Amino acid sequence: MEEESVFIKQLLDPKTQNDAFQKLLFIYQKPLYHHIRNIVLNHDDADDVLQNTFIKVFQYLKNFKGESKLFSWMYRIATNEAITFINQKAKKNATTSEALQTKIVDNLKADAYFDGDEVQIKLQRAILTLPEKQKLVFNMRYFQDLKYEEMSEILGTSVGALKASYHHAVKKVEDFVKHH
Amino acid sequence: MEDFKIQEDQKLQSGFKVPELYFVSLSEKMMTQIPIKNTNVIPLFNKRKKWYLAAAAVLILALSITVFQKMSPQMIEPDGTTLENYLVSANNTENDLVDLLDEEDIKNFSVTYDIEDKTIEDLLSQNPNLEQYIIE
Repeated sequence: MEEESVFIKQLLDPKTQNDAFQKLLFIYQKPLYHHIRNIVLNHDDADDVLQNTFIKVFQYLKNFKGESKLFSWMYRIATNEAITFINQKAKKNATTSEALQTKIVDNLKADAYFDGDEVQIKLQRAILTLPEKQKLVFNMRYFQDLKYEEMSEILGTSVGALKASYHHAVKKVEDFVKHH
Repeated sequence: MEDFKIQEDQKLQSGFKVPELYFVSLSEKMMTQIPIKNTNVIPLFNKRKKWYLAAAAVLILALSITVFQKMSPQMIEPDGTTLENYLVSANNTENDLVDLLDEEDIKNFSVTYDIEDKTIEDLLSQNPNLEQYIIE
C-alpha cells in the first residue's frame, strides 16, 4: 500500500509523471483491455473504451483518495465506461444493449479478432442471458481469475453476495450450454 | 453438450484476440493524448515574464526622465544688469511698471513724512520762486 502511494505521488509529480504513466500503462493496459472486451465484445469498441478509461484515470487521479487500491479504482472506471459505451451505442442504433450484444455475438465467426470455436461462441451466448451484475461477476471470475475480495472492492458488493451471484451465473451458463 | 461443467472442466478462453503490437501502439498513442506536465514551463515563464516586464518598465522610465531633461528648455535666471537694461530699453510707462507690482510692493514704497503745515508755509514763503509755482 505504501509502494502504491509512492507510485501515485510519482504520477502526480510533473517531474516523474511521464515515466510513471508509462509504467501504469504497461501494468494495467492488458487486464483492463480484456475486462472491457468481455463487456463490449468488439475490439474497436474495447480500444475506444480503454483509451477513455486511461484519460479519465489521468484526469481524476488527483482526486483519488487511496481508500481503495489503484487497481480496483481503475477497474471501476473501466466497468462504468464500458457499460455507458454499450448503452449509448444501443441508443444511437435505436435498439437495446442486449440486442446489440446479441448481434455482435451472432457475428463473432466473421470477427477478425475472434479465434474461438463453436463452444466458445456458445459460452458467449450463454453469458448474454445473464443479468448485468451476474455477467460482470462471471466474466471477472471465470476469464480473469479475479479474487472475490478484489471484485468486492471493484463492484462494491460483499464477498458473500458475489459468491452467490457467481454460483447462480455458473448454473445458468451450464444449463444454457446443455440445452442449446 | 451434456457434460459441460464450468467448475470441473478445463477453463475455456474467451477467444478474443488483439491486433499484433496493439499494446505497443496503444502506449504510444496514450502518451500523446495525455497532457503530461513534464514540459510545464508556463508558470516559470509567467514569473520570468513579470520580472522582464518590471525591469523593462524601470528602464523605460529612467531613459524617459534623462531624455526629457535634455530635451526640455533650460531655465536661466537673468542677472540684475540684464533686468535693468531690459526695463530701460523696454519703453515701459509708469503705469506698466505699477501693473507689475502688487499692493504690498506699493505699500512698501509709501513714505510718511512727519512735517507740520506751518513749517511747509515758512519754507515756501522763503522761496523766491513761489509766485512762479503758484502761476503754474
